[in-house]
Amino acid sequence: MNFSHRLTCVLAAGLVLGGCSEDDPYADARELSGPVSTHSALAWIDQDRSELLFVRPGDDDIDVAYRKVGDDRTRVSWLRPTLDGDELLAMVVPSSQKEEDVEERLFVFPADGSGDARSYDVLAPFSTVDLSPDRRRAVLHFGSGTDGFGGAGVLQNANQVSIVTLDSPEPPRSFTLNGFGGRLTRVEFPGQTTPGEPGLIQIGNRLRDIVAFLADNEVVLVDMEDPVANQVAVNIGSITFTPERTLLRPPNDKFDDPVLFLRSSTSSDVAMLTLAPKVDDDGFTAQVSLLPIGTQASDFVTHDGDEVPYLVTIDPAREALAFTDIRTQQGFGVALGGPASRMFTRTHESDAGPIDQLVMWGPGGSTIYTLELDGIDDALGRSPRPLGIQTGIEDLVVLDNDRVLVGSGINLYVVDFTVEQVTPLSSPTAYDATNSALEGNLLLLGTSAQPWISTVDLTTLDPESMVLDDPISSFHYLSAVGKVVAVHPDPVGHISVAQAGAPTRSSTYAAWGFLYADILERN
Amino acid sequence: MNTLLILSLLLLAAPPTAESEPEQPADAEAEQPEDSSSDAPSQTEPAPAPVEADEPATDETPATEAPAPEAAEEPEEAESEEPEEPESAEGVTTAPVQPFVQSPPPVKKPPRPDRPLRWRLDFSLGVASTLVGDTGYRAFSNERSLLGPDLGVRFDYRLGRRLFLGGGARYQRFATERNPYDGLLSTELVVHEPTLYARASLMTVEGVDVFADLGGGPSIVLDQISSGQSDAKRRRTPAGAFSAMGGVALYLPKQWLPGKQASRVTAGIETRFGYQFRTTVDMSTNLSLDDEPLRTTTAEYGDLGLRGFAWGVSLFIRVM
Repeated sequence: MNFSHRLTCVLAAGLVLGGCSEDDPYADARELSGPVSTHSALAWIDQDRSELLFVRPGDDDIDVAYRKVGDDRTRVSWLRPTLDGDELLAMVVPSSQKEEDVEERLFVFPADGSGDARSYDVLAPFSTVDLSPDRRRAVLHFGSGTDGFGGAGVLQNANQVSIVTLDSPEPPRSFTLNGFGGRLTRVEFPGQTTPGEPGLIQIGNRLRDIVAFLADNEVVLVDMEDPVANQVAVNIGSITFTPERTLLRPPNDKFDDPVLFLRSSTSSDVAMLTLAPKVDDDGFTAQVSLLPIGTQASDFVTHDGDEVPYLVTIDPAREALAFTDIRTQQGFGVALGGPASRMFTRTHESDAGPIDQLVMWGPGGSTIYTLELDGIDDALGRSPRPLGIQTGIEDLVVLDNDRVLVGSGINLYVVDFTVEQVTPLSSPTAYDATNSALEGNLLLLGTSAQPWISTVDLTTLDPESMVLDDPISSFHYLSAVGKVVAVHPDPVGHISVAQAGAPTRSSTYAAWGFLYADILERN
Repeated sequence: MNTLLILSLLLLAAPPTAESEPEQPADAEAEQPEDSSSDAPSQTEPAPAPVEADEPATDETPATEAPAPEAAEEPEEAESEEPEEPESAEGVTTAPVQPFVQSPPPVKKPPRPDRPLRWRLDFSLGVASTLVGDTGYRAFSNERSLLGPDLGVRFDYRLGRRLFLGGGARYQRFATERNPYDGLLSTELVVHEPTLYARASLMTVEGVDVFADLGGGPSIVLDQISSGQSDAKRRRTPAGAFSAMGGVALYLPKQWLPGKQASRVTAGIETRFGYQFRTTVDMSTNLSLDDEPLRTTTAEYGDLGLRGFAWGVSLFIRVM
């Protein structure tokens, strides 16, 4: 073949190739979802590229990192940070029901995407995860719905669960709840009351890490530490009892056995499960009894009086507290004088030293009540002290032991229980108390649909506000890097990054378009 | 009878009329100077009067002694040359014979001499295209080709029997826009590209040239990438462009032109193929922000290399 023939072939091939159609990587919209925030980064799911996109805010600019998760036959079903924001969990499932031989895996990424990810084979495309407060475990299940399934007609085991020990490379423990047929609705870790601290329960001579699987009329208890221990399934009885919350009372000198309480807002009883070791093997068992608490219990706590172990319930219908002796089922009530449905305990510094104090409130109410619990069984007639919220309570966020933040339309209230002070803060736009964070004594607020980041110095109650250039769609506090990030509603990626300790416009910067960075290189 | 004889003599003596003149050969015409007709005064025009005839007479020179101007004698001569009215012997006066005025021969522009082909100057207008190999270009265009008008001028000089060497300048402009990702982004790309090039051309036969050229120059890239919720300004980024092209130029040979070998202008069409290299351009967005905005950083989209197989077609007019 001479030169002219070769040249002709090359030119013809070029023309043919030029006319050929090819895949257009820029035609369709990309499937991006997020963000979720860890303590140092924001993460988005990029389904098209099967990867996670980490945005790490620095002092002057952001850093974007991409981490592969799965492949083109999989998709990320959900993304969830751990409770302390130290890691990020990503559930990977087959991209369609036509994909076979694809394992469902749980990926665990470092908070900022740096370093290698771990992954666990979890056997099923679980749609829900519950994280233990001790930050050691993730319990995967299907929740109450079919989220995560790609289509109808998929057969699922609603009571299949998988317990993943996040600080261990061991395979997850997957099993089916050995219950009575009720569908799993909720997972609770009753022993773990302090975040970051283990919540082992002494049952007999063994310490057990109990997880409770709640279903209609029943509960299944499993020791997460002991894979060979039996599942303890407890049928509440023939009454309609939908357990909603659990409460564990550890054993002490006032009651020798650990007790697990189950509350149902539709029942006038609280189920009391006394945990005890099994006699014939190394397992444990539960003896159930029903504790009458009046008409209803919308929340409960335990309190040990001087002599008596009490279960304290709040009855929204009667607007009263009920103190019930768990040994004798005898008790007394304390009238609140107003509506309340939720409560928590805090330590109050009194003249006599620290004492337990109950704080009661309810959405729709206009009063927060406090009640000192010291010597409560000898102080009949003691009445709660009210703290008025003038414009009503929509939501309440516990900031720390001494302060709560109350949202009420365009008003926010900072309540300081140490001096019983209620400070109203108002603005022309409504603030969402749940979009808040606490950086030391600085309360940070960034409510959606408005362009303001506000701060309240809780020592002086001096509010300051900084306006951004665009409205906020979501607000994130990255505690490890001391930044607050306001995400703006632009699908190409638009955030504003401010210093959490002192947000000012001069130190705040915006980043735009990062979700579509490198599109010319990575197409 | 006498009258008839006189008329016959006059007709014989009269010069032939234009219609009766035989056509002179072209060569004979060519020998005539081009401006002979314009310089030769027509015989029908009056003779220019002598300069002295208009000058006033001086006292020193009596008018009677002044010599008669020559021009003043011409009418007399003309009168003397006028045929006398013939008088018949019987005293009958015949009709006067009009004097015959000879008209000049028609003047034809002489053909230009053959013009040897020593140099060529072309003015061209056409389209040019680059089949961009960088997939990232698809973010700016629905097609892979970068297409635009091409305007050029070039000159080459004959160095041998068939070889011409020279160079030229061309200007190309490419523009494209797209809304990628289902309209999420809006992109726009405009390229202004003046190019200087050297060219070697081989005239296989007159009317068919094969050529090759090497060129280079700046490539001014204007780009704009925005989203539906954020406006952006155009960015201007300089780059470099280099090309190596070859092709065929077809044009009307001299023998097909009216002027034959003396022709100075011809026209043709040229098609060329080759490779167009352009240095990469970093693409980003220059956001249009409000007054006193927050310090804002924008994403880097990566490098865009508008290079690949190139072709062009142009019509040209050639002066040679």
